[in-house]
Parts: sequence; C-alpha cells; structure tokens
Amino acid sequence: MIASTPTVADPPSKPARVARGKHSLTTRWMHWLNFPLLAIMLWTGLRIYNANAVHAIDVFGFRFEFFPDGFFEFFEANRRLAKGIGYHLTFGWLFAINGVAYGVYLAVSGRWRELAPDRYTPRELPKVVAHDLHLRSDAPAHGKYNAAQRLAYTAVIVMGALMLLSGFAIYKPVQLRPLVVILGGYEFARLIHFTVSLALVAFFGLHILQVARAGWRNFASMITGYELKPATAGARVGTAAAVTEETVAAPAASTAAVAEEPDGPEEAGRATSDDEGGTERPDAADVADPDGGPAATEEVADGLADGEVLDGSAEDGVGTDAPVDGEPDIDESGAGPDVDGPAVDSDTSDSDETSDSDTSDSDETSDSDETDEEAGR
Amino acid sequence: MSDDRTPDETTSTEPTPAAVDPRQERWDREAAAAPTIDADAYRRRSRRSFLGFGVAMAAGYLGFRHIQNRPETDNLPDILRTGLEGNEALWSTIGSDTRLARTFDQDDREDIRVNGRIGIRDEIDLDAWELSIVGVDGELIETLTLDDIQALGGEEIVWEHKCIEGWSTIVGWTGAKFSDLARRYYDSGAVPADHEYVALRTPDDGYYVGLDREMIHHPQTLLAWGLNGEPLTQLHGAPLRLATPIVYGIKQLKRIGTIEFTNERPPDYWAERGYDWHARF
Repeated sequence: MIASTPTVADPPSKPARVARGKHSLTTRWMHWLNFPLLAIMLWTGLRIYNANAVHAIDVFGFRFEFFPDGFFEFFEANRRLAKGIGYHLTFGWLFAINGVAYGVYLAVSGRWRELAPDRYTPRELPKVVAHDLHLRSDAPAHGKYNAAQRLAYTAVIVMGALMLLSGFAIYKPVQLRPLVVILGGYEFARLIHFTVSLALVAFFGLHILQVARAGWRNFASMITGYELKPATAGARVGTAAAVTEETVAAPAASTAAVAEEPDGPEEAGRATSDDEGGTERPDAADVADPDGGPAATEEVADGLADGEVLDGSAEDGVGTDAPVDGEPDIDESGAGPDVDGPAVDSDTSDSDETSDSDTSDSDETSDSDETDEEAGR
Repeated sequence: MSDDRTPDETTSTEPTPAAVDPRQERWDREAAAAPTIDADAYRRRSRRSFLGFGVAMAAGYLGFRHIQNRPETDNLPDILRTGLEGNEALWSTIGSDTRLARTFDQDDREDIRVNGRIGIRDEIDLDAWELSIVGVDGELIETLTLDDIQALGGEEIVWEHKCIEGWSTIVGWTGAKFSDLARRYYDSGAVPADHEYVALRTPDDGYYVGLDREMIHHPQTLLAWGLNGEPLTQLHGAPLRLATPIVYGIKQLKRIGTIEFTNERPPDYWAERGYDWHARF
C-alpha cells in the first residue's frame, strides 16, 4: 500500500476508482419527485398569492413589494387564481404524501441521524459557513453531511412540515380549527405559508448553488445513488481520511491559503466540506486497494468519461470533487488523487514552502476546535 | 490504518498526535454500511440511472402538459376539477357538517371592503324587493318580504369573512338562521326535507350560487340584513344576503332574489369560471 502511494512521479500506481453508495433509491425518488412537485406548488402558489398580493415590507417609508408586476407576467401568474387553486389543491396532496413519506422513511430507516443537527452543529456551523464564503480555508470534519447541511436539510423538512400545516389550516379553517388556533389564527397561518414559501425558494437557490459548487459527481450521486470516488491505494487515502477526519485540514488548508493562487486553497479546502460524501473513509481505501493495481488505470480512465467531461478535473485521474477547474497546481504539488486528499495533502506539502505564520494563524482561528492541531494523524 | 499513513506523514509538515472525533466511529460505521461498486459497474449504473432519470423527467413533463391541455370542465382542466371534487368527497367524509367556525367579540369587528358588484350594479328599490321561494319542482312556493325573514328572529355573529382571493375581515352579521326558513317548508311539506341543494340568485339572475343542503343547515349560516350593527348597504347586499363562515365569500350571495330548493346541482357563477363549486372550509 505504501508503495502505491500515487504521485506524479509514480503514475502507474494510480489505482481503480470505486463508487460508493450514497443515496438510497427511496431518497432519490422522493428527492426528484419533490423537485417538480415543489415547483408546481410554488408556481401555483404564486398565482394564488397574486390575487391579493398584499405582503410587503415597510422599511423606513419604503414599501418593498415582494414581486414586481413583471414577475407575475413572466410566470403567467396574472389573473389565474382559479387554475392556481385547482393545481395547488390537487398537487398539494402529492407534495404532502411525498413529504410525509420522506419523514416516515427517515424515522424508520434511522437515516435522520445523518442529517439531524447534533450537539456539534452549533459550533461547527459558523466554521462551515465561513469556509464556504471563502473566509476560512478549513472546515470541520463531518459524516455524510456537514453542519450546514444538517441544519439546511433539517430546516427544509421543518419548512415542508410548516407548509403542510399552514396550508391545511388555510384550506380547511373550520374543519381544522384547532390547527388554525395552534398556528396563531387564520391570517397568521397565511403569513406563515407565504413566508415559508419564500424560505423554500431561498433554500432552493442555495441548494442549487452548493450543488453546483460540489461538482458533477456529487450531483450525479443523487441520480445514480453512487458517488464516484477516486479510490486510491491505501496510504494516500488512509492519510487523507485520517487528516480529514481529525479536522486537520485546518492548518494544512490555511497554509495553502498562502499559495500564489488565491482561489487555490479555497477550492482545495472546499473539497473537505463540499464533498457531500463526507470524509473519505479508511475502509474506502481498504476496498479500493485490491483494485489499486496499475492495470486498472486505463480502464478507469475510460470508464469515467461521462463524469470527467463535466468534472473537468479528472484528466490525470485526479478526481477532486470540488474544484471544477481541476487545480493543476495541486497535481504538480504531488497531490494524491483522493477527493479529500488533494486539498489536504497538497496543502500540507505546500506549507513546507509557505509561511509558518499562516499556519499558526489558522491554529488560532480554530483553536476552539480541539482536533485542529492534529495534523497528519 | 495508522501504519498506512505513516509514510505519508513524512511528507507532511505537521505530524501531530491523533485526537479522534467521538463521532468517528459512527461515521466509519455509516460509511462501511454503504456498498461500493467498481468504476465499470458505476459506468453501467450511471447510464441506466441517467436514462431512467431522463425518461421519468420527460414523462413527468409530458404528463403535466397533458393535464394542462385536458378539456376543461367549467374552465378548469377536467383532472383538476376531478381533484377538487375528490377533495370535497374526502372532507365530507372525514369532516363534520356542523363544526362551528371561530367567533369573535364585537370589538374585533372591522370595516369590510366591497369586492364584487356582479348582480347588484344597479340600485334597487328596497321597499319593492321580495324574495321568491321555489320548490324542487321549479314552481314558485311563495314570495316573502324582509319582515317575513326578520320574523324568524335575528342574531349577530362575529366571524372572519374570508375571500378566496386571500384576504379576510372580521365582521358581525345580523340575520336569521337559514335552517329556520328551510324548516318551515319542510314542515309544511312544500319542500321534501331530503332535497340535496339550494340555489340562490340575484333578482337579475346576474349572480347565482349553489349550496349543499348541509351548508344551509349549518348553525352559523344566516340570511343577513345587518352588517356590523348597521343595516346592509346595497353594495354589501341589501336587503338580504347570505352570510356564513363555512364557505368563501364567492358563495355568499348578495341581494338574494330567489331561493330555490332543488335536487339538481345548481349552476354557480364562480364555479363556472374555474373555481371549486364547494369552496368550503
């Protein structure tokens, strides 16, 4: 395993990649059913809202209406209340059933543990956000989902539940009178319904942005169920895994921030947090290792054609997830092909040449995180 | 694992002792539970999945277009009309016909806007107004004056009047229970008590609504002549209008000219224009 440590100088040792199961068939179906259903609900909800577009925010005398007239025109939402209601109250059932089924699925399968915020979330969230905003080069290690994802994916479930509850309250305020009372009255239920719909749109926008940032393989995994990992020989992967898992990315990545290319470190560091597959597991290495012979290389390169076209980073079989631009400098620095690896490893080695001050800087910024300093192991 | 790592650490600037994240074990377990496939299998799987995904998305899109282009029943694609009727079937099964809407204090009353003038655009001579009662055979049973209705007794109930456009206003209505009027005809035998619907029309037949029998028997369904303690204005439906908190305002006909008991579902002005015939809460 050690011998197969892939470097630029050692190309034949590039091992086979594997794809790791990520999203269950149930999750994928529900996710992709939800996409058109939510779109229909938002679109028809807009038609309904437009019949009485009263919500606005008054700020120091300026009245901010949520949607300009042209917006309604564009979405053909003008004077289409009746059809809007017809769609909304028909497709709403499908939206509700899909959402409830998802909740039940999460509960029964135990997968809620993957995305429910845990006690680390409040502490890690600011770091993840700062990292994603390029204000911080490292990000906390995480399981399947990072702190921000946990919060977002849980929040969107709560939003969906609020939409259902407030929607039903508006829909049947007499039959479901207790629900209306719980939601603070009919008018307040309407306000909840409207506000949360905006929040859902905001989630959608952020989700698209983050998925775009996370790269093709992450996106494809929501369709195929599997996320392609450049599974490398154990040494590299093992290291990368260990590094990432132990949140060592901090000093390493921040060190890289010194590197010439300002975007480099962020891109690289991002692999840690944006890789929705989470940390590369040691056992990924184990699994991959048997396939890791040189013979596999060509085959793999072929096999990945579709992914690579869009990923753009895979020319060398260096499949970083996050950097769509491929980060050639990482390759040069001898980065391993691992998803998390390039960021961490290359940065770490970069740090040889870069200033220590930055390294210590990062230690300071992240010293609340007790594992930050555990580089390399 | 750590053995594997060792050589790499030599290239790392910061070999430091490990502090294992307490969650690590669980992450490892989760990851270990995930199956892995080789790149070939992934390629085949990708092909299959993306093909299936594309087909499903295309089918979904075409299905939606199909719904949009369905023939319309009363200005609504028939599938959606079926959806609305299905909703009513569900709620009339699981719901209650007598559940009361929330009521408010008189202090909560607000002014209510005039939102529709259909059927009442021209002022009428209120003194000349009379209400026609028509039986299930379509024959006129009798005509009534406002005094006849007020003789049924009056009460004020304050509730939240809700418009299907999305606004609501808390208003107090003064009127007689519709059920008291209906019962008079059941008792006299003029109308069979098991009639299914009631049709209301303005004197000029310009606006018309249909109601389920259960709606007019709801204890809060009034034939109203007063609004917020004042007599109705003509634009609010003088001399007599329907007022009930269990349906949207589009069903609450102003200036009732005719009340017809019937077994045929009556035409409904807004239902013909794409809205739910029931519009019930």
